[in-house]
Formats: sequence, C-alpha cells, structure tokens
Amino acid sequence: MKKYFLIITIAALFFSCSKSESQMDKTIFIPDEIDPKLPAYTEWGYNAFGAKLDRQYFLSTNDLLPCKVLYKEGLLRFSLIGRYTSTENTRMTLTFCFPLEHISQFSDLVILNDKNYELSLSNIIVIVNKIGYTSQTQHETTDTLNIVEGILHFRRAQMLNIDDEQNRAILSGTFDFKYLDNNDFPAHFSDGRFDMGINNDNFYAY
Amino acid sequence: MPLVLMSQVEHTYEYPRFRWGAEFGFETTAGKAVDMPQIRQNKSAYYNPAYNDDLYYCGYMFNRYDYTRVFAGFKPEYSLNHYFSVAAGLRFMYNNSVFNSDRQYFLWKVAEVSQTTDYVRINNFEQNNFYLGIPLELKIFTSKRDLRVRHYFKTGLFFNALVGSSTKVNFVNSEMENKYDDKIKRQLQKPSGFSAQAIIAMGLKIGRMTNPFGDIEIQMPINLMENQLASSFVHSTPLSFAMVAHIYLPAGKEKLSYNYRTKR
Repeated sequence: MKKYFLIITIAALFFSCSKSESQMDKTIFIPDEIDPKLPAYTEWGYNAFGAKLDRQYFLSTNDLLPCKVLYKEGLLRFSLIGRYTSTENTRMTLTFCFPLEHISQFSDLVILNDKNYELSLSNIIVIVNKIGYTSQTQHETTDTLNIVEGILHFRRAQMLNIDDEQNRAILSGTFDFKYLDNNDFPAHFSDGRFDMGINNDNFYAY
Repeated sequence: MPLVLMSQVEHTYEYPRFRWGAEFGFETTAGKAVDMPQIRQNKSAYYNPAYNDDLYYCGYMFNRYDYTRVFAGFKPEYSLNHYFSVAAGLRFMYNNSVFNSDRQYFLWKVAEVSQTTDYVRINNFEQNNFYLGIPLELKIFTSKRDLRVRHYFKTGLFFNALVGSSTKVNFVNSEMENKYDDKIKRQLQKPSGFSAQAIIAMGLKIGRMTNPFGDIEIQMPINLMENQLASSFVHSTPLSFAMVAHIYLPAGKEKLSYNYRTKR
C-alpha cells in the first residue's frame, strides 16, 4: 500500500511540475533573417536578446535569467544577462542605468514606451560585468564604460494580459554604442536588440 | 445463337451502354501547415557556440499536416464503345481538421491596442468542411472483351466548391469563449471556396457489365490552382493520393455487342 502511495505521490509531483512550466518564462530564439546568429527583433516577450561586440556575439541563453530590472533611488538599472561567445564559459551582464520618474511595480514600466536614451550623457551609466571560468578558476571583471556615442531605444513597452489577467510587462527595443574600455581601447556593441518579459520574478523596486 | 465453325463456337456478347454509378473513397495528402502569425512561438534552439547552425529550428509545430477528405457520390457512366466510357456526376466531400498545439496550449494574440496586448490560451482548433464537386471522367479499357476482371486507366477533371464550413475554438479557460470566439474565428484564414483538379488513375473492374458490378481504383489528383487552402490550417499540395470504389447498376435498352469464339 505504501509503495502505491509513493508511486502516486511521485507521479502527481511530476505532472504538477510539468504543468507549472510556463511558455512565457522561457527564452525563445527566433533567428534574425539577416544574421541568424542574432535573435530577430520581436515584441512578443520571447526573453531573448542579442548583440555583436565587434565580431563576437553576446546572447541570452535558457540557463540564465536574461533580464533583471532594479529601480532604486530614482535610477532604473536594466540588466541583460547572457553569454559572450569569444570564450565559451564567459557569462556577461550588460547594465544600463538611467534616471526615471518614480515607479513601484512592473506594470509602471510601460512609461518606457518609445523612449530613447543617449548613452553618452553624463547621467547615464553603462556597466559590463564578465565572469570567466578557466581550468576551475573564476575571473570576474566589472567595467564602467566610457561611452563615446550610442543610443538605447525602448521601441515598445506594453502590458501583456493572458486570459484577461495581467501577466507581465514586455520591453522591446534596440541598442547600439561605441565605447572606450579602461585601457582607452575602442569597442562597439552593435545590432543590439531585446524582447523581455518583466514580472515580479525579475523586477525589483526599493 | 452459336455458330459452328471448324472446331470453334462463335458467341455474341451484349451489355448495356449506360449504368447508374455510386462512388466512395478518400483523398489524402501530406500538406504544409498554415503559418498563423497570431500564435506565439513556444520553442526554439537558441544559439550555442558549441553547436552548429542546424539548431536554429524554431516553430510551434512540425510544418507537416496530414490532410484527408472522405467522399461519396453519384456518377452515371456511358460507354462510347468497347474501349472508352465517360462519366459525370456529383460528389460530396467532407474533411475534419484539428490543429493542436505541440504543448498544452497555444498563446494566441487576440488583440493589440496601444500599450496593451491580449493573449488567450487555446487548446486546439477544430474545423469541419463540406464540399460539393463535379467529376468529369474518361475511362479507357485496355481490352475489348468484358472479362470478369478488367484493367482500365482513367483521366478526368474534378471541380470542387466549398458549401459549408464550421470552426470550433477550444479555449483553456472556457470563460473566454463568449468574449473572443467570434474574433478569433475572423482572424483565421478561410479555406479556399473553389478548387480544380486533373485526375489520372488506374483500376480494376470486377464483375460482368451485364449485371451489377464494381471497381476499385487508385487516383493521383493534381491541383490545377495555386495557393489554395484545404482548410484554415493546411495548404493544398500539388499532388495527392486517392482510393475510390464504385458500384454500377446497368440500365437502359441501348446495348453494345461483340462476337467472340470459344473452343467447342
């Protein structure tokens, strides 16, 4: 009897787990028609982003939560988390920090609709964090980039309802900028695009 | 009256030129699914430098859709001579198409207004299509004699009109039906209202044409019109495959006859 109870419990747990899997939480990679190594620009909340750093690719993956949004003390920190393909095990986070009027919940993010941010302005900060792994050693670097020119464009910010219930905000946009690194060596993030779903799991406001 | 000639006997064989006919069969094709832009993609193989470019597959379902229509019809036939006969009639066809998600449900973009987008969860779509068609056929027998089993070829044209279509949207949340059912049905593409096919076929007649008899044939319908939708979910393909059986009932006084000899 105990054996049957155990089997039924395990089966119930298994099926309840698979039902809780949400299509909206996954990263969906729709290849770009021109450069299929980049995701296409979409506005569906596919939780995908991609950009070229010179000739290497910075891309979202399914094993990393691709976006976090933190609002604190009048600054919005919009972070894209993914892998940088110059070396296989480099995890990279690109964070845009910019001032924003007060928001308290993810649904307020729709105010970003069709907003442009000139990244070379002094009140905007762009940070790159890299964590690399080589032969069981972790190397972490964090750089505040000296932006020469470039724009972050939230092309569309929308609220998504599923079956008439509020589900998440979707931020879709593009970015492209040139910068000098700590050694004054120039580099270029180009063809950047993102399509992110933001809900209570990845939105933080303090 | 048999005639005695040497050691052989000559016979005269007669059969009616006209016969009433009924047909039953199915037509099947491995079609291509219609791309529905309202469906949110739900799977992908994202880029990983360790893999190759073949992993860029994405889509909400395999892009293949098996499509089958069953049919029954009324098709009288008339023999022009011993080798050729013509037939025309009416054919009623039916198809049931179900479009399932490869996951538990589709997310269907039902509305997009300003800064708000509405999805609904849909288990599947089901569509019933009813057609009325006119087959025009020319049958070619390879031999003159009406043997019990007789081989033939056939060619023809088939004109087909959609006379009825009904679609059911199965929502995950049944409360959404009243609000969105009509809107989603309007977003679906309509199946094509008219189609034309050329047919080539081969078959076997079974039974003498003096009595009720039948035949069974395989057909290869060739679509004559491009960019057709067999249903809201599947594109028509250039070629398909059909199997048809006929039952004939000879009628009328007009007859064809031929002589043949048998050994005494």
